[in-house]
Amino acid sequence: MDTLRLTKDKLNDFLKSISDVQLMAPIVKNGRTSFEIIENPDAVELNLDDYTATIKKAAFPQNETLFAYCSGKNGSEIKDVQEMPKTVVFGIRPCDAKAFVILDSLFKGDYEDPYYLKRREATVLIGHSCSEPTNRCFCPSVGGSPAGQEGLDLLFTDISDSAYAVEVLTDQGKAIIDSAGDVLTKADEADKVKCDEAAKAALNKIRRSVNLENIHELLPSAFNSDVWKEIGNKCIGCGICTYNCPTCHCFDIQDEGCSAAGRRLRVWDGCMYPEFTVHASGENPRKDRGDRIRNRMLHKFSFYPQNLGYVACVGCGRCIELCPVNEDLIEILNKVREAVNE
Amino acid sequence: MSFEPKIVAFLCNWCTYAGADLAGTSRYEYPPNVRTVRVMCSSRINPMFIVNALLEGADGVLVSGCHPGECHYVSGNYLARRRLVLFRRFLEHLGIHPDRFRMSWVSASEGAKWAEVVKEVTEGVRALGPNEIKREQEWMQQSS
Amino acid sequence: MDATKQLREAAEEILAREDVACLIGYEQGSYGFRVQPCILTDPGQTDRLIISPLCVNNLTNYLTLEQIGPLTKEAIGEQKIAIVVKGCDSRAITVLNAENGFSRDRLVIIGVSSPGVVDISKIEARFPNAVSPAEVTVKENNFVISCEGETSSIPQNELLASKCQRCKNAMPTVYDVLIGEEQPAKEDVFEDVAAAEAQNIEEKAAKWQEEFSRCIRCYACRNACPLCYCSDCMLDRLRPQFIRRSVTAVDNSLFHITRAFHLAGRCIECGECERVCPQSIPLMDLNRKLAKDVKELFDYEAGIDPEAKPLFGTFKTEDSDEGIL
Repeated sequence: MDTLRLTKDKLNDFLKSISDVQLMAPIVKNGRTSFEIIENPDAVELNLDDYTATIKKAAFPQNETLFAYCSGKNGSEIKDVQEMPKTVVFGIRPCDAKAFVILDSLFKGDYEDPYYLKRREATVLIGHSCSEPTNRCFCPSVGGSPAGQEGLDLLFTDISDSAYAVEVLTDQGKAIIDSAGDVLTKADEADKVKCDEAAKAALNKIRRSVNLENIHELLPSAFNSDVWKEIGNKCIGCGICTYNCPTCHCFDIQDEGCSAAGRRLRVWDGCMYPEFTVHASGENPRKDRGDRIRNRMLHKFSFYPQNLGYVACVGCGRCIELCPVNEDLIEILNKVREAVNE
Repeated sequence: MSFEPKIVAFLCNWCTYAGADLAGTSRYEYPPNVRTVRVMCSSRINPMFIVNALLEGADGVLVSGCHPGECHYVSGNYLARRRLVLFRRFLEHLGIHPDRFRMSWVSASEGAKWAEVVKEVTEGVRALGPNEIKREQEWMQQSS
Repeated sequence: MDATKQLREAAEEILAREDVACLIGYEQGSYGFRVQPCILTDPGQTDRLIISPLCVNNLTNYLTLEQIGPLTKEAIGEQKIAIVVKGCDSRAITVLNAENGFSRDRLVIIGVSSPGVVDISKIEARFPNAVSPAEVTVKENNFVISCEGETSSIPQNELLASKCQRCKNAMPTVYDVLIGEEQPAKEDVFEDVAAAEAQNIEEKAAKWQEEFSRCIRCYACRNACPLCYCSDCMLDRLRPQFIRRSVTAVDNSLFHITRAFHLAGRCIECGECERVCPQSIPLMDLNRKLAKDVKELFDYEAGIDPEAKPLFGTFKTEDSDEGIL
């Protein structure tokens, strides 16, 4: 598909041309970036140093009302309160886009989740390739790259102080370009070369990696190893890793309200909380924090690849950056491999 | 039509509840905005009750118990006082006006005082307007 | 003598004791400026221990964390746990002891005098590409940072965590062994709280509704706090469910108001809640306001006096009647 050119001073015009749909883009508050639905594209700030903002909420919100009911003098009523407006998400990293592809494979799997799928269909993803990967990034180890295209409809690359190259990757992306009119121009060969060079330069800046050779068999073979206890000792069971991970998708279903009115909603949940696996009897098969870390690693690197064909990790490094006690996924996998090889 | 505040009042069984009862039998008039919840002692009040009441849509909360030194359970109101005086200051820090959470000591013989307390608290909350920090429950509204 | 060396020697001696089961300390983290907690069981492992301005965690959290694994009575019986604590951390031990949460007698406390810790987000912003292990030491009023082969010297006040800039507890309040030199206490007049108090009620409401709207209810603040250890936490209760699982600014407010208030007179101002928050919510503002009012109303400070009873477990007949009709 095409590659186009957008001068940086026209970025606002481009965003403003995305009309009749919601725009979700990065804004900065108190020095922290978050992706929000915005009315005015002037507020957009591509703060590419802060990568921890959550994007999965565009298709998998933290609270999602599945249905609501009320009953009273006029009888009872059930309201399907899903709102699925078309949303364009601008400025995400390729790893976050790949995370959507990974989530798609689950939510389209044995059971097609209508809530996620409706939202996903209504979401257009515009990415911004990384030029400065962080010291936590390791996407190449899991099959990604700073200029990866999986899951994206358009990909912006910073090719100079004054311009972006914009690669059109899908029909949905093309529709956005078409409605932008002449804000974008065709990219010339030099632009395309700069685009490739930027991708290669970013790739060379990634310094962390993890050996995933045969990981989906290696991890289960270490199931009974004591290494998990040592790894689990410092974990505080807080849930930061699961909530911020772009591929984590566990949820709880809660009912709120009373006989007069109420709703059923889906909320994020995390396997790192002890309550996640407590049975009605009070028994907990994953009581130790090491057991819960083991389960999470197995899920991401063993069960998911075997069942759905993807390693459920995009190498974004959020869990590594945000963990309060430095539980480092790379270190965990390396320790387990060492323990097995001994 | 002026705003009619909804005020939830937690009354201790032995003193204030009896005092409120006396106000009734003595036919003292006071605003009807208070909804009472009887508890055995003011120290039963968990600060969560107060915030939850506000979040569920109450415009004001009143906690009332025995005078210090007269608690039916000897020291319950002393313990409640420590917590709740601090809590009121804390709520103000978070943007909940102190007039939305009041406390009073009303004994079983103070029917007149009860009426005055309710008047004062109601007017204080009325002046502040409806409480904005509450759960949005648009699904509670019937559409027809 | 270098504090790390002193610590390792003391730790070796302590771990060799018959009556000590394990030692909770700090060791080098997995990259850059990270330092991680470790639980050692053998005197031969003590060369892993470090102590530096990068040691930000409050290790007393592990004493009360649910399912504390190697530290339960079943695992270690009557043996003791050795623990490395900085000044602020040590206050937690006193509070836990006073409320029978964890007995001080089960501990061998290695108190470390602390000139202050680095704010990790500030140092990572200055040195964004640190992958190989970095080191930070103190020289006079500067931090000396060796990162990726280069050494730089930066004035302490540019990198110090804000809690350390006004710290009164540079020396541990309780200890069995003391590591490090005497550190001067700084003054704390709750300036930060006074500034917040000066805002009007609408500004306060707007500020906190905005902050709480960013909360994602990960509960890291609760889990990182050494004094949040209820086995039946209000957040996990379903009958009745005071705090809903839906994540809205208003239910988030209920969570934070209640949690902060449950810590009134118990919070030791170690700042871990604010440090771990992935959404940068200024949680310490809440705890500091309560600490200021607790001092003013009841002349009480958490974790300083080992004989003090818990704040809400006692009362004085002359306590304030502020605002009471």
